[in-house]
Amino acid sequence: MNILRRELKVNFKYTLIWTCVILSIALLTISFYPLIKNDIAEFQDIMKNFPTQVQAIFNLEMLKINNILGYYISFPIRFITLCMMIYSMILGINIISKEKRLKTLDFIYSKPITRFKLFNIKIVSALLLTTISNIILFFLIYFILIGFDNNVNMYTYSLINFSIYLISILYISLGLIISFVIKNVKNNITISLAIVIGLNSLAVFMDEKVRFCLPLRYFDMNYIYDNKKYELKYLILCISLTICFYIISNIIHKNKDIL
Amino acid sequence: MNIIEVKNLTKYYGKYKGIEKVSFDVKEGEIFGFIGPNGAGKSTTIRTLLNLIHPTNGTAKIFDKDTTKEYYEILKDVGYVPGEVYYYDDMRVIDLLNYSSSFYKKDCRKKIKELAKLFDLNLKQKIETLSYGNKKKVGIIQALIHSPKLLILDEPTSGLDPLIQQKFYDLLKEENRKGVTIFFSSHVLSEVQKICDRVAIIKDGRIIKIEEMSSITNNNYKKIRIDTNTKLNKKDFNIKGINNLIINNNEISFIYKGDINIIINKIKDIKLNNLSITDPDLEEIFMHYYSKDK
Repeated sequence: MNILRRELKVNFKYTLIWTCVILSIALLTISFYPLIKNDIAEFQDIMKNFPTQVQAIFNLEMLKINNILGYYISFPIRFITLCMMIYSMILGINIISKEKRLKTLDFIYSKPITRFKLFNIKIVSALLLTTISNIILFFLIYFILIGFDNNVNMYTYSLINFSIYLISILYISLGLIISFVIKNVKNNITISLAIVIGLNSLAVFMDEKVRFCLPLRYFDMNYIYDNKKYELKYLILCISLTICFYIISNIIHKNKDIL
Repeated sequence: MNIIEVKNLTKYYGKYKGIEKVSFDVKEGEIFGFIGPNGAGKSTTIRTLLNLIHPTNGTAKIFDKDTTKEYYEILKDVGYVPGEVYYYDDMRVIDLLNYSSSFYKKDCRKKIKELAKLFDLNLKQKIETLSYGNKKKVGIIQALIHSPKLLILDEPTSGLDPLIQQKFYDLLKEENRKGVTIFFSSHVLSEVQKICDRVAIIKDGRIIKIEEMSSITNNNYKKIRIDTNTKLNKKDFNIKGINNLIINNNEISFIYKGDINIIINKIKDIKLNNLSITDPDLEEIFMHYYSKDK
């Protein structure tokens, strides 16, 4: 409990900052909705003139901006997911690399606690923080959405936002691996940004055949919106990858020399 | 009973050797010195004992438990002062010590107060504002608060002023009287000589010698440097026990083992500009004292 308390105390402030930033982005992007709704036909004409790659970024082939939830999955969700990915990866990387940066590994690893327990308490703390962040965002974004339009299907909205939560956990586990693969992680934000933006760029331009290696496309928002369910194989892939990264990171951690 | 048993302990970092076939025992209630120059393998040995790094070969046991498998049980009764001390800058000293004691499930408040008073350490001060010496004091206190049965000290006095060093030695002797076994690593021969019962000397990752401290003290080497305007020649210093005699213009230096009064008598008639008698550094000890062992 002592480690969990310490981890939560140290990271809670950053979680709140990130949550506020994501919430501000959500509020800003959602607040364009009334403007776009009024000129929807004109807006769609303008967007159709953009190259197909740009249209793909905004998911325009299935643009459903005639209602607030359709607009939410077309624009705001892109930025919210991107930020959550970056933050979750930072949480994952920080689990070990923060102690490494502070040079406190000797202190913590010479205490009577098994490596497995130490590592997993820190993971639990990261999971708790991302859960808190996702819960806050879930409710506050919902209130923002119904502030603009009362017609928000709660079930669909829950499915959409739960997919962000699943992606967050996947990125925490990816962060764990990254912290072991990259030696001397000095700037975790830069590394997280580079990996998340790199993967997301690939997700836009790569072929459907390689979708399995692009986490951003595991949860197709239009599919969820239309079918009110996840694509099962990608849901299983997301969960399997998360578990796989978690197990690998535990094995690496167990055998790693603390230098 | 042996508290520490190390057998053929070897650690390679890739192709680079850390330590090779290191073997020694530390008996219960003993103060065991572990001495060697920088990079000799002292910290590698200690880090292997604490399971911070995994051995490439060989075994290490503490309290008759394997350090790689039962480290969690071992660490309950071990206090460790690292060579370089780094703690969480956002914490106050008391927060860090409370955090440290929370791992041992013991009430350490009384001991924290006693030790902070002994070392004159402000418990409310933030870690980030502490000098290196004060951080070292925090390192020593956090290693002692849970009343460990074994203390592993990796160059514990670096950064401490002589007054605090003396208090620290006294504290170690006191803990040792209570039955605490101490593994004391250092590159300063004189401090090991002060408190240790036995000493192991490590160089280039290998143990060169394990000896009773009394044996090393009897073979006490001194490095003597004389600065004089009097013209001297090598014949004047043809004395048994003098090694590595160098005469350079007005300066004479040599390593001496034997009765110091013989040298004092020899130089009392020389008009001196300066005279220094110091402990030779370890390299010189290795070169002269241990050359016969190679």
